[in-house]
Amino acid sequence: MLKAVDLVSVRWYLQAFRVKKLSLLLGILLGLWLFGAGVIWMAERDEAASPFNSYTHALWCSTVYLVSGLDEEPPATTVAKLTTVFMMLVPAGVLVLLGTFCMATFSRLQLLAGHVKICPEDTTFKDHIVICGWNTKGDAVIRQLHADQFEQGTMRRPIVIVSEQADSIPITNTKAYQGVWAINDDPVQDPVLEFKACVKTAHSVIILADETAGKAGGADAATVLISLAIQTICPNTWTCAEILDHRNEIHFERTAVTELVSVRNIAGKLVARAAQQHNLTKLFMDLLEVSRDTNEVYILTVPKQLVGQTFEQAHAIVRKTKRPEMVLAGVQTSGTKKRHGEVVKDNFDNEIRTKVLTVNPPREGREMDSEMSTRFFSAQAFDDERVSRDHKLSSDDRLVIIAREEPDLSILAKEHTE
Amino acid sequence: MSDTGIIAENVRNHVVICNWNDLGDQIVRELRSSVIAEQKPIIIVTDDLESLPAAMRGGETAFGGNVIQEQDDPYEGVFIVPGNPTNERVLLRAAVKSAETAIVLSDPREGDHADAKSVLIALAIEAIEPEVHTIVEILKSKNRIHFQHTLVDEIVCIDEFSEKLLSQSALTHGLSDFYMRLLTATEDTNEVYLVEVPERFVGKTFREVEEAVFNDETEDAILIGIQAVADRLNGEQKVYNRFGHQLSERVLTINPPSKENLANRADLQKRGIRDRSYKLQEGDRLVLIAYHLPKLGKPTAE
Repeated sequence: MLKAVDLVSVRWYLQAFRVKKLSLLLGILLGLWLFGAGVIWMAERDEAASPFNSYTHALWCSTVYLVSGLDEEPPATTVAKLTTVFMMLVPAGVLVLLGTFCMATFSRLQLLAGHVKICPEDTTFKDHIVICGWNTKGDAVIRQLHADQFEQGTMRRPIVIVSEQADSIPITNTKAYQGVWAINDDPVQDPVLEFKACVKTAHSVIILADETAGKAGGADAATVLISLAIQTICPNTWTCAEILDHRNEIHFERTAVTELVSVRNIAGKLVARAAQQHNLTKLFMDLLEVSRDTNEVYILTVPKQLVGQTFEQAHAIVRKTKRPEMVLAGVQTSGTKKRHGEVVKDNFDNEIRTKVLTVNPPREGREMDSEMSTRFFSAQAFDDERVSRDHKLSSDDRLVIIAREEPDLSILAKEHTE
Repeated sequence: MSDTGIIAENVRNHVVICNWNDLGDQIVRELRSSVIAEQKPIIIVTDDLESLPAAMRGGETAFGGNVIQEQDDPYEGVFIVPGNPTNERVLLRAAVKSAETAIVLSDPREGDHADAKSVLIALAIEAIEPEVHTIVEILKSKNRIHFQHTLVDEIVCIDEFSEKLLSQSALTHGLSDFYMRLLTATEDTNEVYLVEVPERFVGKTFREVEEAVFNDETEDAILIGIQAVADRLNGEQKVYNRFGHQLSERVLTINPPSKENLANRADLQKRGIRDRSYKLQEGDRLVLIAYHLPKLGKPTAE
């Protein structure tokens, strides 16, 4: 992955320094040099007294004509004289052009300095993160995605920002913004997402709310449009959208969005929970902060050695692990998407498959009173069927782990089997 | 202001919400969830009555304000005290002195200066009763610093929260679902509970308690951390209240590190982080994920 980022950087430098045009100008100069020297030598080679009758000397004189003017005696033949005049006038123009070109290039680079680099044309990305749209949260999102903790390993991925103001995004932290590329275009356009941002091969897509849209409704409508464009191109790409008004959640039902972050909705819940259980905000902020000092929540594939074990057995194995310290908090299984108890189907009448998360699986047979459980929360009820502690883990399942760094679960299982 | 006395006598351990915005409705509904065993009275202090839900604006007058009628179930037992929450007398009418928690929401009418008003309210609450647990919503994380010299217990910056959540969800798929489930108080979702360490666990290590909690057949709970009592610090200095009493706080340790790992981290030790072999003491709390308040110990109260 890092190699891919480096290659893009090389391509960016080639484009930023306009190496193609520079090469063309240098090529013209080289051609003129060789051509001039050749013509002078051809014209003068039969003149015994002429100093230009050797090609190497003609090349030397040609060099002098290019940069300063006449060196020694003038050539004897008319053709050589005319060529000399040509060599003194035309390349001078080319040299001026070259100088101007270099100045323009450096001025342009000066303007671009401190801003996110524009992605070179025809660049392809894989396993990257696409950010559609840009708002005040974008900078912090990038800092989190490229936090020091992810300096090494698979978690640090290239980031591609698609926004109409992408080229004016300032770099606030050089380290965090390494491997961040801007596409200065409208994220609603299918071709932009498909061919420039390569959403088909992306690890995730984040859609930021358009804060300039005025009301929450306008911003959420723009988010719906982008998610519909992604749905058309690649319905299976993991898409996470920020919405400003949770009442708009329903509009995302048949879009590609797999995670909706309704900020104020979650914040309201957090404040209410903190009023009940004091200091809970610290707990959640600790879990959400990406740093070496804090814990994060990881959802990781079940290692081979744990396949076939129950959640209860897996919990015992995790408890026994001394390094790294972690807590097994839940399991993610495959299931069908449901809303108000009914299976959600796509436009072709196929059941939509989704990942079902069970935090703290209960013991077998513990049932809940669904009528009571959804009081005041009918729109947000969790309809999917959760698994119990006796659920046997399969290779498609994933474990929800709380740890300070991404744990290598294969080591965990080996430790246990030893 | 005769009403002040009536409220102070009759309402205790309640939740005071200062200012009103769209978070308010969400908070009231969460606090009225069926899984919350103890439904505490809620008093809303605002001078912007127009912004309150229609169901709240009618109703009988009580305590110098309005009482919400049962038309909308979650608003049962919710009172309004009209007035500017920066005003000490208005806060006294809301019986802040005997409140358990004060929530200061940002005032949308103040625009960019909403955080400044929140600071004033927080200071006014502290002046009346420093022991009340104060939670403040701020709009800009850079204003966090202004609350460092107050005794505000918790600060919620929504932008900060969403930035972190969005970025982590992009890296770890399904994460927002995890948080939504933990934060939604229903009977089929888990919540995070902080419970006093029961007697039988005093003197035991995190590892021992973790196993005991998971294997407790009466509960479906997972232990994820502990909260141990430590001195309250502002930077490196101890914090005292206006009566000269040193303040203490509970330091949260999620997934405690091993003794060996913690020994190499002076910064974590300074913050009061406990290791896995730390023996739980009376007054410490367990941080549990459970479907309802686990009956391992008494419910917590600040």
